[in-house]
Amino acid sequence: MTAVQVPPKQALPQAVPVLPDPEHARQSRRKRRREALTALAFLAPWFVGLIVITAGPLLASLYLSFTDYSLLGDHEWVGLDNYTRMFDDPRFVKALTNTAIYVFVSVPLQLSFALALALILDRGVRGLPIYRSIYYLPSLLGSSVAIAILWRKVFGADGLVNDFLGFLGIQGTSWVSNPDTALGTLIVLNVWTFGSPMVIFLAGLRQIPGSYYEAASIDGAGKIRQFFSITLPLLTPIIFFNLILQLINAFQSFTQAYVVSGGNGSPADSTLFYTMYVYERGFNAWQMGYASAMAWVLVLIIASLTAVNFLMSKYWVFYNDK
Amino acid sequence: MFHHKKRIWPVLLVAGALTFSAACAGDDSGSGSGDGGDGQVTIRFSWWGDDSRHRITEEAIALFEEKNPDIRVQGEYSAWDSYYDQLTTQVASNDAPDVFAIEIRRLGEFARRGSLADLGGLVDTSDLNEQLLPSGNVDDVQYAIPTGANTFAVMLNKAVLEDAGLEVPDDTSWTWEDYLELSARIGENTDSGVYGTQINFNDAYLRVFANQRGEDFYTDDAMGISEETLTDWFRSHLDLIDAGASPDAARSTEIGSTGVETSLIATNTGAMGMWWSNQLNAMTTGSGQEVEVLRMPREAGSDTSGMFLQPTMFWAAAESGSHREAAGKLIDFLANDPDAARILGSDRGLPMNDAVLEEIRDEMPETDIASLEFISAMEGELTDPPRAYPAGAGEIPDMLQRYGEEVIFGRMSPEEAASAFLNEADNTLG
Repeated sequence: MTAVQVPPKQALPQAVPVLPDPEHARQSRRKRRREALTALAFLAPWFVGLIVITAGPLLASLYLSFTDYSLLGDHEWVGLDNYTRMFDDPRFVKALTNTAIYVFVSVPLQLSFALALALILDRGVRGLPIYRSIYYLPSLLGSSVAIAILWRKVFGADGLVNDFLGFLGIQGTSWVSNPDTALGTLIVLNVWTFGSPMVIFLAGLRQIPGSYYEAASIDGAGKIRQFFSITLPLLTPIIFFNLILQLINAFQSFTQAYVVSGGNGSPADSTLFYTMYVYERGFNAWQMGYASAMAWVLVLIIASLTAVNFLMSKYWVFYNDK
Repeated sequence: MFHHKKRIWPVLLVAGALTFSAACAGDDSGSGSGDGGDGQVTIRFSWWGDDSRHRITEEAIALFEEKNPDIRVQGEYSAWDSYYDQLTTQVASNDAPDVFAIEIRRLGEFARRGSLADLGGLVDTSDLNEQLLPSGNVDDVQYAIPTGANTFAVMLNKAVLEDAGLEVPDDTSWTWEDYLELSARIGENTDSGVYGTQINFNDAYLRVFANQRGEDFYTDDAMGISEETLTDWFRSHLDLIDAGASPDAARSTEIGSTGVETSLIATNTGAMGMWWSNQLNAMTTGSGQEVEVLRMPREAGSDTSGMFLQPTMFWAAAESGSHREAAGKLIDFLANDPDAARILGSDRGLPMNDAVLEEIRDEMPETDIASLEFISAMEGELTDPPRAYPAGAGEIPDMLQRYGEEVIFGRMSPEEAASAFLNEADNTLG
């Protein structure tokens, strides 16, 4: 899913030049047609999935967002009511604020961690594959229910964190159940899953030619100078890629907050994430129309944020191949 | 490349046709309520709960199938958290299970939206408890049959109380002040980490509290509780924490959101708490100590206990089900068959069929007999069970907890919380 687009080392062999023989041309055309059909047949399950499972419901939810659909019973067209209602809904504002804090604090922290660790591991540590796997592990587990339950325990009143603090003579609180700290524990959880951007950073670092560093050190550039003048600029496309990916992911996070809060944003709505509020309105309050509208607003938010990112990228992302 | 594009359409057509036929096939077998070849019908039966409940319910199903060879029952169970999401989605897509469990908070909404079948004539209700039965009745139609009886009461861990050197209070006369005082003294007299009681935002507590002041929880389409009562109720939690009778706000929130297993009583870290009477067994097992059920404290000078008989859950049948008679038979079996009651015990509340109860009484475990005796002793003191709630009531418990947390963390005063809660609740109900 998070594979890097690595340019092929060798150009692929060119197609055999077509001979001007008409019979041969027809044959090869037929062959290509057959190949294309085979390809399409193999693609068909994916197409069907896209249309039936993704595109269909997507369009349905767009329609429903203009109705008062409640899951049970009939629904009526209500125009833009669901959309205007959000502005007067304090819980919507709360959910949006929580999510924004979560995204804009945890993603930069997570990426910095990932980059720092990638730099250390790139120094040619012995047993790199093992370390890489270990640090990647949280990324695989991070959004699972099991880890969220573990988080509850670790940051609970009698959890590991407080045991450690007690050792230092500090009296802890129940971090997950305190409205001032609950969101913080979720941010820490997201930062902890720095493995997948780290692996991508590692791959990116490997692509920077060693000769650049050689030349720089001959010119008398120190390690820090090398990092800012060579590593960082050449890594900007990777940073950009990670940033986009993690921003989108973070905006949509659901499981952790759902499990840690017991499904209702507790304590006092401090962990009410956007997606959780959508879910609660749709399935708990049976306001599926309103929930659909919120889901579409989230799509707009993520899309415009990504668009801004792409526009901004002109000013800071450096592509070496240009 | 261009002429290849045209070739997309046959592929898409084939793919589309395949999906369509797959979907149709799914309709035939997927609903699962088709007739078997040998005149058998299959009905689907859905409930929520933990492993022990799943086990005994499966056992009861096996017995039902033995007694009704022409009906097969397909059990579909899930955990509580996802139960309504699943059920609502199934009902919305006309794929509802034939028989399912439901509770009072959602009964009114499902019934009034036409999703439940009229059980009149399908289930024999002649032996069922007359006080409890009407709670399954919405707009004069018996849409649901209570699974059993329950009441919300105070539970007391005797070992913790003895450690504190205190005696069991007289629950026929104690007031909310006595409750606060006793809880605070237990906290003082015991080690740190052991408390008098735990914070409880259960709407049942508020119902009792309000009933004692002569207020109903709901009117037909709004909250029936006054702002003053709600303010006092929110303040009662703050008082418990301030007096050291309950853990601090953060710890209380952590305990409060996780149920019986982590409760103060079950972990022997507290003496009291408010729970449903059918949770006595779990509390006793969890703590390994003797746990006693007590009446709720009273408002000084109030002439009613405010306590009520609660239908633990209901059995209901889907309006869309095509085997209503078989569904009715299953519900009848669950409610009226002594052998079913033997298997199911008091897991979904004490059996509400008096004849059945009499027959299996001697075989019941001690904790069931204790809660049965408690409810019997309270006969006359318990008010009628609540009737189906107004639409939107499913949201009220979470809302109550949310504003309760605002109060105990000092982010809102009890007055502010009461007024904001009533405002939001009245916008939701209707």
